[in-house]
Amino acid sequence: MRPLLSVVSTSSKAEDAVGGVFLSVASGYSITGRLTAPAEVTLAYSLEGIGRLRLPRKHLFLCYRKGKGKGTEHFTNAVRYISLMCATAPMASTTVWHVFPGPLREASEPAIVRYAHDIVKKNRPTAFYDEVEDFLGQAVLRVPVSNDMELAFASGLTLAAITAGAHRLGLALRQICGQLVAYALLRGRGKSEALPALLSALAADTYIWYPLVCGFHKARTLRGELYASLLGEDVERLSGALSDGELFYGSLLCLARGLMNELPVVAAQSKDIIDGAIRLSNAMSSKVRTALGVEQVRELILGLLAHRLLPALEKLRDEPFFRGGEEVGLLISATEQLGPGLLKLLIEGIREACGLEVRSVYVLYTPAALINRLLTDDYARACGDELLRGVRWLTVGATNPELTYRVARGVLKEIEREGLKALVIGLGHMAVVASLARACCGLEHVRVLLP
Amino acid sequence: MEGDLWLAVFCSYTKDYSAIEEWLDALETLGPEEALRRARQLVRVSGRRPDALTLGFSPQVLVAALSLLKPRERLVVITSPEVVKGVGPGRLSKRAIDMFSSRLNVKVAPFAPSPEHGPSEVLRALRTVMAEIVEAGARVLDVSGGTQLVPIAALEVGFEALTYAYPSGEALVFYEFKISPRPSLYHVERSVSIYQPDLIYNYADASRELDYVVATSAGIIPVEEVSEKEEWSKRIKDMRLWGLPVFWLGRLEKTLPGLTCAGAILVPDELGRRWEQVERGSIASRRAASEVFALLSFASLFLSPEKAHVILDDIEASCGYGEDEDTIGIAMRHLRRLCDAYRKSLDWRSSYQSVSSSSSLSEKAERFAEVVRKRVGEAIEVLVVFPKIFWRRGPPGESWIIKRQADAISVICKMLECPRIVLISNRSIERQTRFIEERLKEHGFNVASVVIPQDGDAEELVALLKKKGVEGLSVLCAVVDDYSKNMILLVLRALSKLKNRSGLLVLPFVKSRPKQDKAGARIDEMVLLWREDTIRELYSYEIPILRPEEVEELITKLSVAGE
Repeated sequence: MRPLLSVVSTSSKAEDAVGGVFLSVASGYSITGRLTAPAEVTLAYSLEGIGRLRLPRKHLFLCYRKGKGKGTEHFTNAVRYISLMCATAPMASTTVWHVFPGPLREASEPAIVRYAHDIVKKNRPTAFYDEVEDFLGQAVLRVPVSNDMELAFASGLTLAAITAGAHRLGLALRQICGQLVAYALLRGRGKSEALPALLSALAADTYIWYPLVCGFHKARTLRGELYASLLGEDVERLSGALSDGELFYGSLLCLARGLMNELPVVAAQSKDIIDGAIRLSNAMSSKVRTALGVEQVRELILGLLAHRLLPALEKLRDEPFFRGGEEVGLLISATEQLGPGLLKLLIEGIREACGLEVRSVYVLYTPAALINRLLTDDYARACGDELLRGVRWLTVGATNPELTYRVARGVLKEIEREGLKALVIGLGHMAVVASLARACCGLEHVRVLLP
Repeated sequence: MEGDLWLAVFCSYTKDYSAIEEWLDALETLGPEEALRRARQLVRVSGRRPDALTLGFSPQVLVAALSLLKPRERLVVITSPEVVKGVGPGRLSKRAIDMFSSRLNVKVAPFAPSPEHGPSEVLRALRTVMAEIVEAGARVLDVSGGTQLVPIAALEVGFEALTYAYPSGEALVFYEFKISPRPSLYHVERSVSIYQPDLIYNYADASRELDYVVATSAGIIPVEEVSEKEEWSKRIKDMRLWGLPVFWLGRLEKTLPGLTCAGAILVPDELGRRWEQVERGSIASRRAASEVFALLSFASLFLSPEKAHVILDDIEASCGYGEDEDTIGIAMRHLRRLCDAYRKSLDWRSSYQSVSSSSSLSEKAERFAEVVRKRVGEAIEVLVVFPKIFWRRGPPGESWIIKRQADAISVICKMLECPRIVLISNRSIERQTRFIEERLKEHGFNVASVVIPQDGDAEELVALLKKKGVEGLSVLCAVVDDYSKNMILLVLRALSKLKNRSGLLVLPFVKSRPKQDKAGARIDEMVLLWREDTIRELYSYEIPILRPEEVEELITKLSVAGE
């Protein structure tokens, strides 16, 4: 077993924020209440199995601060439940270690007797901090979190994204999180090593653990549409690259270290948001090619944003329909990758590329983007982002085109009533985009961008 | 003298109808306002006052309850047909109703069984009227008027409290019973399939199908009707879904703890009856707004209430754009009603304002072939197909799903009597496209494929399409589920340059919709849309189609991107 990432909260406020975001997202927003959260969370990897049948596993070490008492049991048990049982939670099966700050008192109080009995009966993985301290200290990436709410949010989200399973939402969470961290990094918030560490951890997990898991299950479960939605050509290519245990650990840690060194440099070199996103994406794919020895791979985390969405904004630069400095209303149909980072990068990209100020934002989302909607709202509230708090979210359906058309049409008329021109960006399912495009017809104040 | 009359008639039991008549005469002389002021001095309340009452042949309770209202408040009165007609002793209460009509909201239901209507029917009629009142916001019902069937119905419907009015000799007293009535029923949905939102576009079955989901004042209650002995095993599934507390109707093998009987808090008859009231709206929403319906169900049952509220607000805002009287309008109104009911159930503090739900589907919507012809044109000369990409290393012929895709294209062509097909391919799906091409040729179609240049060279694409003879024709571009928007745009532009008249159709992969086959308890299902029977049955509001004029306009509006 090798540790990759440690998130260490240095205040109670940070513990609550990191733990709260992690539990909310990892549970698919079925749990949003506050529980006594760990001060340190460390993620480690192992490879278990028989012969060539090697199943990559994750281990989560939840280390609690001294004096936090019985409440810690609830947090650990909630994570165990959503990880092992809850079918609607995105979190993958993970071995959850409850790490006590120090030796327990004699098991004489009824509550302690009950918990101690449960640990022994169920053979729960537990440890004292001093027993695992050296091991946890070997984590390649360490993220200290104090009272910076943006960093706390990004850290909690990264833990939830990395522990999400290999499924469409699991990959989407990694992308949403990657975009948010990249945005913070590019805005110069990455003065510490925390943000590059989070992005490096995400990338290492996405390019190594995720394809390996897909490869493991491919023969027995992945067929047809599920196969396509999970793997895609690139993940499939990567899934065959690693089978040997040592190669797995070696590549994981090597990629994480390489990115950790390179990403801050790349971010510092970027001219602007668009250029920065492209550079980060290119740096990641280059490092992946080297670490895994594959010739060709599309960058999965920032790919849509860096290579399709933001470059498409350049086309707006010379569009005479919009005047420089003009305020516009933005209507977007959500892709599963849409999140706070993508929206922030998009809005700033529109300003940078075309000098347009986005005054109001409307997002049409389908059930497939449910978590994106909740997550963006959470970020806006936690970090006090007024623009994102003001986003109007509307539900539509790819297989309900007439409903989608009417909602989109209604929104476009509202934007017109606000006295604004509308910029429509069609992302996501083609059926939604087609209805959105139809809604634009006959309206003079609208322009459409299909990245 | 007048004081004696009030004491004898208002504050004491009396069957002396002439005295009651005399008292009513006195009330008329005083006028409504003064009469109520006088009554107020002789009314006592122990507990809460009623905001609705059942009125029999004693008008005193009506006057007493009215005297407790605030100036502009109205009292809901349920009374019998005899009172409304003023038959026999009913004439007394009729006089009181007429006197205070501006302060009353009168509902009529039978109170007593008759040779024509047995006790069950009377009970059912009472429940119907009472349910409407509860839905409209009434919480406390006075049951001192009417037969013994009145309190039975009231308890079943779910008033928060019941009062009983009695004369003490010095006053008329409203006494609130300390009982635990059944929860108020806001809404009933039958056969609700719970789809995981991120699997909505995969051909995945529901994680759970609940026989009923009931919005009540006690919360949202999922209900399972026991149809076979082994159904207890569904409890295992429920435990994997965050321990959803399902309630059970019927006899279940007592194999596990936590199998709670729904009969203790819900009346099975009532569920069926309430469902009938909303069935048409629900079916419309499961067809025309299927994804939003699925999201609403999932959010209400599986998200924390705090987050469920957020999603319900979004759905309500979206459905605010649909006020039409067609199927979509009916579906959207039904969803708003559902949002209201679920929100109230999730948080009893919010106000519940019932949204009316239309009971009939007024529109006879067009079906697939008719819609396409109407929007794109009678004669479609070429079908330009963007096939869905499936990443497969093995032979495409072994793939069930790729074969279904070929069949779907074939079906569309047959329905539209379109003999020519051009498949738009790219390097990633060349093998699949070739397989589909061969299969379509076997079906007798004239098929060609065009591989989009890797660098997206528009001129080269124009030349390729021209070479295939796609110039100056009536074209329908069919996107099978999803495709790169850039590529679609590139092709639409190339077709436009070649003076073709092109419409655009998107045929999604799967959809949840009401079952065609009515057998079984489940009323909706996830269906594959790439089959002849499902394509043929698609309604106009289920298929995104852009007319050629709309495609042309889109190309103009898209001048900023994709060049």
